[in-house]
Formats: sequence, C-alpha cells, structure tokens
Amino acid sequence: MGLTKSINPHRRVANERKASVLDQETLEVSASAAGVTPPAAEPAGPQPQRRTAPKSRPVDPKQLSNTEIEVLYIEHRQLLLFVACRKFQIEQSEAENLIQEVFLSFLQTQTRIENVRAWLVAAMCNASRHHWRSVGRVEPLPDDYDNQSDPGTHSLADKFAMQMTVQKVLGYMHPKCRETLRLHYFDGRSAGDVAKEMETTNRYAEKLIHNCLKRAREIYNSITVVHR
Amino acid sequence: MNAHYDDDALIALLDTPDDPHIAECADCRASFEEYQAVTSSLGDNSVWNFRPLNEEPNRQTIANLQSFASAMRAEDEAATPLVAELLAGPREEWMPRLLANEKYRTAGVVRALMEASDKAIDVMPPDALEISALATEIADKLDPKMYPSDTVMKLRGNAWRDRGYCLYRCSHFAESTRALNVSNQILSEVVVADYDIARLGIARAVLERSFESFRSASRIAERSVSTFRSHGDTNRMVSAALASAQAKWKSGSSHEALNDLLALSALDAVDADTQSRLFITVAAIHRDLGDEEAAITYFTQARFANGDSNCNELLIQWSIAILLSRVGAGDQAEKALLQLSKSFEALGLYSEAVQVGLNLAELYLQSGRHSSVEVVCRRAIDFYTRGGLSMTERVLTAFGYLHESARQRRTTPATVREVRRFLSGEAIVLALPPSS
Repeated sequence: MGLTKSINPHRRVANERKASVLDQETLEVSASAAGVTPPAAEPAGPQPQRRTAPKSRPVDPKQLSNTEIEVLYIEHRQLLLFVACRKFQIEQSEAENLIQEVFLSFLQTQTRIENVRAWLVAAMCNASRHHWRSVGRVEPLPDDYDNQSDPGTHSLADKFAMQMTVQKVLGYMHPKCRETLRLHYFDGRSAGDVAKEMETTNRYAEKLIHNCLKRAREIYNSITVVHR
Repeated sequence: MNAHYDDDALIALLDTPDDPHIAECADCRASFEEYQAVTSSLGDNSVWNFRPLNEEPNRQTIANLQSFASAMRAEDEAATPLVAELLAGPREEWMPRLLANEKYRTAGVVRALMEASDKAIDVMPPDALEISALATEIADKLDPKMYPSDTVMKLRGNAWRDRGYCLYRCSHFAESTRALNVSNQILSEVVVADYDIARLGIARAVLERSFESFRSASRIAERSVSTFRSHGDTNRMVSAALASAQAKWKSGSSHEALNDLLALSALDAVDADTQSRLFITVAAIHRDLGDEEAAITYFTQARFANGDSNCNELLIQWSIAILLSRVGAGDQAEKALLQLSKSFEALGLYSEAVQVGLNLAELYLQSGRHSSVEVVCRRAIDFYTRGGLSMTERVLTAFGYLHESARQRRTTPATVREVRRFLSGEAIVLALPPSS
C-alpha cells in the first residue's frame, strides 16, 4: 500500500508486534519524558529494513498479467487517492475515476516504465490538473509538479508518499502532541508562542516540541519498518 | 570518530543544517534527514486534513482495468500476423494493401505499426516513414466510441507524433511541422497525456532547431525534461536534454551545451542507445571546439555503447572521417566520406548526404579538383529544391554561389567551410534523440 503498510489502529498485526506504537498514547512530558519508552518493540535478530523511499522496479505495462495489474492498483491506489484528494482537493468519487484514467493511460504506454510509482503520481497530478481545467477552476493549483531541480531523483512521488505517511503518524499521536507540532511546524509559532498557547513555560514548551517530534519519528519508523 | 548525536542534538540542528559531523557521519545524516523530511511534511497542509479516505480498493475499477488489458492483449496478439502480412514485399505495396482490406483497421495494428516504425527509423528511415503513414491512416478512422476512455485519441495523437518524427528524419520538414501540430492538437484534449506531450516535445524541439528557432527548440525540450523527470523516466529525460543541448550548441553556445551533456553523462541507469547518442554529441562538440583528443575518446565510447543503430554508427564514422581529413589523411578521409554519402542516400537521409558532400568538397579543393566540387553543388541544389525548407531561397543562393565559383575555379576550402557553417543549423547531422 505505497510507502506504508495497512495500518488500522484498531487492528493489530500480531507477528509485527506494534501494538504499543499504534495505540493512542498518553503524553507524559515530565522529567522522564526525554527517555520516552521505545515504541515498537522490534524483534531481536537481524535489523529490519526501513521502507523510506523504495525504488520502484521497471515494468513493461504490455507484459502485465491481470493479477499483476490488480497488485499494482492496490499497491498505489492509496497514494494516488491522497494526491488527488489532499493535494488537489478533488472529491473521492471523482478521484477514483481519475485513478482509473491514470491506470488506463499506464496500460497503453507502449514502453517500459522505469519507475512505476513516480510515473503514476506524475500522471495523477496531470489528471487532477486536467480535471480542474475541465470544470473551469481558476485558483492556483499546487506547483510541486514543476519544482524539481535534481535530475537524478524522482522526488515528487517520494514527497507525496512521505506526506501521506506523516498524516498517518499524526493520526496515531496524542491530540496535545499533534497540536504542539501543528502550532510550531505548520503555523510557524515560536516555542514562546507555544508556551503561551499552552499556558506553560518556554522551557517546557521547547521540551514538548522536541519530545513530540521524537515521538512522531518513532511512530514513523515503526509504521514504515519492513520485517523480513 | 565522534560519538553519534542524540535526537535532541539532531532536532536542535534542524535550523542550522551545516554541521561537520552530520556531513561525515552517515548514521547521523540519515537520522537528521529523516527529521528534516518529517518536519518538512508537517509544514504542508495536506497532512493536517484528517477526513478519512476510503482505503478499500474499488473492485469495479480493478475489473475495468483487467477487462481493458485483456481486450488490448487479444487485439495485439491478433495484430502480429496482420502487420507481418501488411508489411510484406516492397513498401510501395503496403498502402494499397491496407486500403483494400478493412481487417487491418484496429488499435492493435496501429500499436504494432508504431513499434515497427520505431525499429525501422534508425535502420531504414523511408520504411519507417511509410509505416507511420499506415498507422495514421488507420488511427484517423478508428471510432473512439469503440474503445474506452481516451484510447483512440491518445493512439491517434501518438501515431501523428511518430509520423512527424519520421517525416523530419527523412527531411520533409514542412510536412513534419503539420504532422506534429496535428499530434499536439489531439493530445492536448486527452485527460492523461503529459507524458505523451513530452515525447512529442522532443520531436518538436529537433524540428524547431532545423528551422534555426534555437531558443524555442531549447524551451520545448526543457519542458519535456521536466515532465520526464517527474515521471521517473531517466532515459527520455536525457533524450530531451540532448535535444535542448543540441539547440544550444547549434546556436553557438557550445560550452553551455557541453556542460549540460557532461552533467548528464554522469547519470546512472541510462540505456546503451541513449548513452551512445549522448557521447556522439559530446564528441562532436569537442571536435568543433578543436579538442580532437577528447572527440576521439567520446566517439570511441559511443561506438562501444552503440547498439543496432545504423544511423549512430554512420555518425561516428562521419566524425572520424572529418578528424582524418584534419590530421592530413586525405585519401582515407575521402574514401570514408564517399562511402558515407552513399550510405546516407541509401537510407533516404539526403540532408546528411549533402553535408558529407561539403566535407568532400573541402577535400577536393585541397587538391584543386574543382569539377568534383561542381558535382557536389549540383546535387545539393537538387536536394534543397525538393526539400521544402523554410530558408530554401538563401540556401540555394549559397549553393549557387559555390557552384559558380567552382565553375570559375575560384572556390577555396574557406568558401566551402563558410557555406557549411551557413547550413549548420539546417541539416540534421546530429545523433538525434529518439522521440518514440
């Protein structure tokens, strides 16, 4: 399912032992907070690999069997839906139609696709823009699509996948922690402002920001880890 | 080795990223970059929208896609013997055969023909040109309602792109412009076509360069570079960048073009064919800048990378012939150039054949063979009269002048060089990026 595995907070995956991470948690920012209990108890033995930005394998769409088409669709659908609904504010029902258009276009491409995920995400941006053009939207659309300067990377798909994962991370965090991160990293408020908002001291607010960010990364690591 | 930074230290460094330990320590750098990625995402409003998205795959979409793929596979399978039958015998028989029988008119046949034309373009361009005519003839008459979504329009747009590129390669420049415009018009109406339009962009860029619209050529090619990059297609990104660099080179910005290409040559995951075209262009720029040693090095690399492309091999041989003439091996150079002229003509690449003729003219003049120069000029005039180039008049004036001065035994190698420079933006003479 793209970068992340299916992570329903109410459904525990026994063999991956992640229950403690996926449960909603109570934020304790006391003296012991710096040593937050490690979240996902990772199994002993070989270190699991992290799926931070998996390299998509080359695919010749002409050669795909029906089963492989289904697998590709299921693997990428969530990310494409995120791109359409969250980046381009398209309704889900319409987004599903656009995903179908993207895959139809993909299947007709008479050439080997080097990076399927990058191709599909770029095509989804294309379809979303076309959608808004066709309904006459005049407000500016996200400009991420043209903002890539590194010729060696396919950063757009990676970036959207990262954002989708971080959104899931936030979903697992305590509301207070989420609010702290929003104030500081989204609204751009200083630690002092956060302290005022939360009616606490500057020092405590700074600690809160650090600890919440550490927690976010821990959850991120837990939900992107791949056990082999 | 210093101890690793802890999380608090890494978070504190997010505002001041230039830290020597982070630069040296791979583990700390990885953790730091992960924090950067998380905080960067936290700054985007899409992550703060918690309205749930339906996670369940849509079974109907899966069924639709599978049904489409099955139908396409069946059609492609049926097209294989049909295309073999259609392309049997001399190419003059192909179109009458198509017009005489409706059975060839399927999307599968169009796809198979485009594949055949793609294979033929570097081996036998006139065949590729005729095949592209068959593809557009069928694609134009397919009923869009018989296929789902934009299938027919996408196919039609791509068939016209292919046609335009083949016309260009065979020096039918005016017709090529019309074909590429048709392609652009069709593809701009298709829902998902950025990738196809980027492929069209490569063909448009090389054509624009032929008309000496260097800035426009480079701009169109750069747009394709950007699209291919976002689609993760490194090979086509390099092809588009090659088209852009060639426009810069031909407009006189040789060093800028060279720097662009050298940056690309460091990329991994570029296939042998694209690499060969890249090296040929780098070598030719070095040759023009007077760096024969670097030119030979890159031509050698290009030859190693070259696959089955006749045209690329000829371009390599051509450049080696020019280098031979420069180092005084006139006889060897003449022999090679005469052979090349014949080979280009046999492939229908008359523009290249004329340029080779000018190289020969320079050699002939070194030994005072003015009558041979006259022959070269007459052939060139004949080509440009038939070619339909936008600047035919001034080109004919140039060749007329050269012909007349050869007749009067007044031509010098410098005069020929001047005419060649005059025509440099016009003829193809480059390792073209494929547009397919």
